Amino acid sequence: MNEMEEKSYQLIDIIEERLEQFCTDWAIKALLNNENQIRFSESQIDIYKSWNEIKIILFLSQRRRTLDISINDLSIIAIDKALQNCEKLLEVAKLNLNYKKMPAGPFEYNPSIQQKIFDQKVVNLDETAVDIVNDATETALNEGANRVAGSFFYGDTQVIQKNSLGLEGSFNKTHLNFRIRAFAEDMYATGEAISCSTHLDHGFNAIDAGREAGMICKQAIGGKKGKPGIYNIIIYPKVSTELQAPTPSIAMNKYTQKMGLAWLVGKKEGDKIANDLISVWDDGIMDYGIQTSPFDDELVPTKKTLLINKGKIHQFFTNTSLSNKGQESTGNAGITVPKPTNTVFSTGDYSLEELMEISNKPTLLITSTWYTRYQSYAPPGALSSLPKDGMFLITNKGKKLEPVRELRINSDHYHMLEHTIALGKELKQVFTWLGTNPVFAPYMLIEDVKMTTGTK
Amino acid sequence: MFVNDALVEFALEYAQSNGKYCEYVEIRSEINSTDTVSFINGKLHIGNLPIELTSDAFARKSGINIRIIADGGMGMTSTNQFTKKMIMESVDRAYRNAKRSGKQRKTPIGMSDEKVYKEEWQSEYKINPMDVSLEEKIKFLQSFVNIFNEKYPIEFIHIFVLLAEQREAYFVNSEGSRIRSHIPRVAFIPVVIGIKGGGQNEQSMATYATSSGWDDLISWNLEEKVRNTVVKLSDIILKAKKPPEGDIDVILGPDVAGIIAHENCGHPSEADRILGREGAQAGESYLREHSIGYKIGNDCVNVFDDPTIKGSYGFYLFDDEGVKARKRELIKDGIFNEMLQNRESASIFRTQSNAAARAVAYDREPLIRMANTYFAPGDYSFEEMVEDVKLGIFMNSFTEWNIDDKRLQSKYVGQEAYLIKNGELTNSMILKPALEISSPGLFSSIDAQGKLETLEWQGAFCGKSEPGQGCPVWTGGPFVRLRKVRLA
Repeated sequence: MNEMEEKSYQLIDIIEERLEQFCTDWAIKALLNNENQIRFSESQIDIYKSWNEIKIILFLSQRRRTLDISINDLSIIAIDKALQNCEKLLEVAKLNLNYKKMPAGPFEYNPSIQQKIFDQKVVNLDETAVDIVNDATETALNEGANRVAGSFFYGDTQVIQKNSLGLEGSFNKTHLNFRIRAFAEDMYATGEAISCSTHLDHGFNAIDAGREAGMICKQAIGGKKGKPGIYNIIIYPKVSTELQAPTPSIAMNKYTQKMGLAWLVGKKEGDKIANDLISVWDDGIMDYGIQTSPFDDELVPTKKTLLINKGKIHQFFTNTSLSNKGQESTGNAGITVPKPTNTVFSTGDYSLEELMEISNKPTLLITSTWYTRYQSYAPPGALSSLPKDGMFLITNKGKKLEPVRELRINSDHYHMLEHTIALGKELKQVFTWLGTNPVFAPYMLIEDVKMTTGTK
Repeated sequence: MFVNDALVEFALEYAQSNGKYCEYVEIRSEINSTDTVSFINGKLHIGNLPIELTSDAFARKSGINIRIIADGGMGMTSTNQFTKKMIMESVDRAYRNAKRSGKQRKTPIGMSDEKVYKEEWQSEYKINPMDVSLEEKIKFLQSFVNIFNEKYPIEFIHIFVLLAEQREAYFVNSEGSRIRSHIPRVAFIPVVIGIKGGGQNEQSMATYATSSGWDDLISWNLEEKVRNTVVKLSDIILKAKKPPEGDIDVILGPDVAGIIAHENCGHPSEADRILGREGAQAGESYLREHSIGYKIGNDCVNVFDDPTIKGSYGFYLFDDEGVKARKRELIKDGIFNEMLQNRESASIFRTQSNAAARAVAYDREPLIRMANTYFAPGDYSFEEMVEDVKLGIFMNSFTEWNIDDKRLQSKYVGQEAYLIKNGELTNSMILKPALEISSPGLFSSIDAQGKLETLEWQGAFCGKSEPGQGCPVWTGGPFVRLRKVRLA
C-alpha cells in the first residue's frame, strides 16, 4: 500500500467514526488522483502540469435529510469542522423526497472490468509523454498544417468506497485524452481531432489524430462564407457530444426527467423520440470506456442499459431511490442525482464516403462544433451551435468538398434525433472538453437542418 | 487549513536549491470554500446539480500550487498533502516538467519585469456570506419560490441557486513578492422557464452577484426583479409578435450590452488567445490579424475592463502573479487600444502586465481573464435614443447567445423586446429577435451609448481553459444603440 492509499484509509476510518455518530445513512468515496496535462500551442509546449490529490466525497443522510459534500482539505481540524457543520445543516435540512435508501447488497462485481480500465503503461508514461505530443505535432505539420495547438491529459485514479450498509470496494483506472488542432497560414482554416481511451494500445492513437487534424486543416484552406438555408448535415462523432448525446446523457437522467428540467418533460417509456435506426445505451461496462467502472456510487454493479430502443424511449437511467417500483437501479448512482457513464449509440451500414454519396440534398460535412447554447431547456430543446474547424459543402456525391465558413446550426433535440436518417459503421470514443461524459458515436447524416449566418 | 507560511517559504527555497536552477518560481497556497443551496421546483436541494450551474457544490479545498520556469519551459504541480516530503516531491516534479517542456520549445518562456509587492488585501464587506446560516439562506430562497403560489396564465419551471464562496490565498515568488488575499463572494442565480402547450416556452437565467457581502446582495430588491421576470415571460409567450424585417435600429439594454462587451471585446482582447495559447480550448481571436491601433468601430465606442470596482464580482487588487490591478481600456474611441496581459504574454509583446492573471482555485494555473467588462457610458438618455429611431426594436434582455471561437461571428436572441416606431417605444412585444452579426459589424453600427445613470451590471461565470475555470466576473453597460442592422 503506498502513502496516498494509507492516508486515504486512515481518513476513511476517522470520517466513518464521526458519521456513525449522527447519520442514519452515509457513503464515503475517496479519489486518489495522479493527473497530468501537457498543453501546447504554436507547436510548442506551453506548460506541463501534474496534480496529486486525495479528494473525499461524502453522502450523508439523517432520516432522509440528505447532504452531498466534497472535502480535499485533509487536516483533521478541517474535517472535524466540516462534519460538525454538516450535522447542523442536516438538522435544518428538509426531507429529501427523492432519496429513499441505498441498496443493502451484497453484490458481485465483474472481475474482468479492472483489466479493461487500468493500463500500467499509462502510469509510467512520464518519460515518453512529450514524445507522443511531438509525434502527433510532426504528423499534423507534414499533412499541411502551419502550426498546432492541443492538450494531452493522462493519469490514473484509485477509487475507494465504503458505506453504512457495510458495502465496500475499490478499483484503479487510467485515462488518456489527446486533442490536437491544426491551423493553416490562414487562421480560419483549421482541423481538430481527438483520441481517447483507458489504454495506450487500445483505441488510442495520437499520430492518427494529428494526421486527421492536419488533413482537415489543409482541406479547409480558402473557405468562403456559406449560404444560409436548409441543409442535410453529416457530423463527425465528436459533434454528437453537443448535438445528439445530451438527450441520452442529460435529458434521460431520471432525476432531470422527474424534476421537469429538460426537453423530454412529458415523454415516457414507449414514446418515439428518434428515427427507428437509433438506439442508445448508457454503458458502464464498455471496454476501454473512460467512465467504465465495476460499481457506482451506491456500490451497485454497473451495467449496459438500453435507453432508446429503435427510436423509442426504453428507460431512463437511474439510481436506487429514483427507480420505479419493481425496477432495479441501472447502476448510475449519484446517490441523490444519477450520473451517466459512457453514452453509446448504435451503428449503421455506411462509411463516411457512402454517407456523402447517399445524401440527396445540399449537404454540409461538419467536423467540429462548439458553444452550443439553448433558448430553453424545455421541449423541444431549441439550440444553436457553431461549427468550427473544417466545414465542407459536399458536391458531386462527395467527390468534391468545398470549404465553407460562418454558418450556424439552428435546430432542436427532437429534430436532430428524428431526422437522423443514416449512421456510420464504426463507433469512436470521444470526450471533449465541453462534454459531460464520454460518447461512443458513429458518423451521422441528419436531414433538413437550418443554417444561418451573420447579417453584417 | 491554510498551508503555514513556513511550509510555503520552504517550498520556495527548496525550488531554488539542491542543484535546481529556475528562472522563476512561484508558490500559491489557497483555501477555497463553496456552499450551494438550491430550490428546484419548490424542493430544497443541498448538493450537486445535474445541469451545469455549479460544480463541487459544497466543497472545502486547500492546497498548494507550484509553478516553475526552468530551461525556458514551464511546469506546474499542485497537491493537497502538506508534508515536507510531498512538497519536495511536488517541487521536483514541477521542475522536471519545466525542463521537459523547455527541451521541446524553440523559444524560451519569459516573464515581464514587474514591481515587487508585499501586501495584504481583501474585498470590503459587512457580512461574510459564508457565515450566513442555512436557515437564513433557505428563507431567502423560499421567498422566490412563494412567487409561484400565485396564479399565472402559463406554467413555470423554476430553479433558484444561492452560491456562497470564499477564497483565501497566499502568493510568494522568487522575486520577493508576498501577497495575502481574502475575498468572499455570493451569487443568486434564478432560472425561470415559462411553458405553454404546443412547444412555446421562454427561459430566463440571471446572475446577481457581489463581493460586498450578504447584506449588499439582499438589498437589491431581488424579489421584485424575479416577479417582473415571471410576468414578462408570460407576456412574451402570449403576446410577442414577429420582428420587423429589413434594416432597422436596435437599442440594447444593459444586460445585452454587457454580454457583448464580454464576448465581442473582452475575450478577443485576451493576449493568450491572440498568441494562440487557447487555440485548442476556448479559441483564438480575430484581433490576431490586427495590431493595437486597429480601428474596430465608431469613435463613440469605448469598452473597458476594471478589477478594482468595489463590490464587483470580478474584484481584486493584485492578480495571481502579484501584479497590481488597474483599469484596462480595451477599445478606446473605436480603436483596439489594449490587450489583457499576464507576465508571459507581456514579455512577448514587450510591454507590462496589466494584471489579468487569475486562477479560480489552488489546483488551477493563473490565466488571462477578464474581471468586470463594460461599455463605458456616453451622452444619451434612453428617451433621446428612442426618439431618433424611425423603425427599430428595444432589446432589453437576451436568452440564447453564442459566438465563434475567433470571437468574430456572434448571435444574441432577444427575450424582452419591444417595437420602436416613429420615435416612440410601443407596448408591442417582439418574439425572439435574433441579432446575428460580426464583431466589427457590431462595433461599427454603434452610434450612441447611454449616460452613467443607465449603467447596470450582471454577474457571470466566465468559462475558459482546460481543465475548466469558471471565473466570477461582472458584465455591464448602459443602453447602446445600433444603426441599420438586419435581424436574422
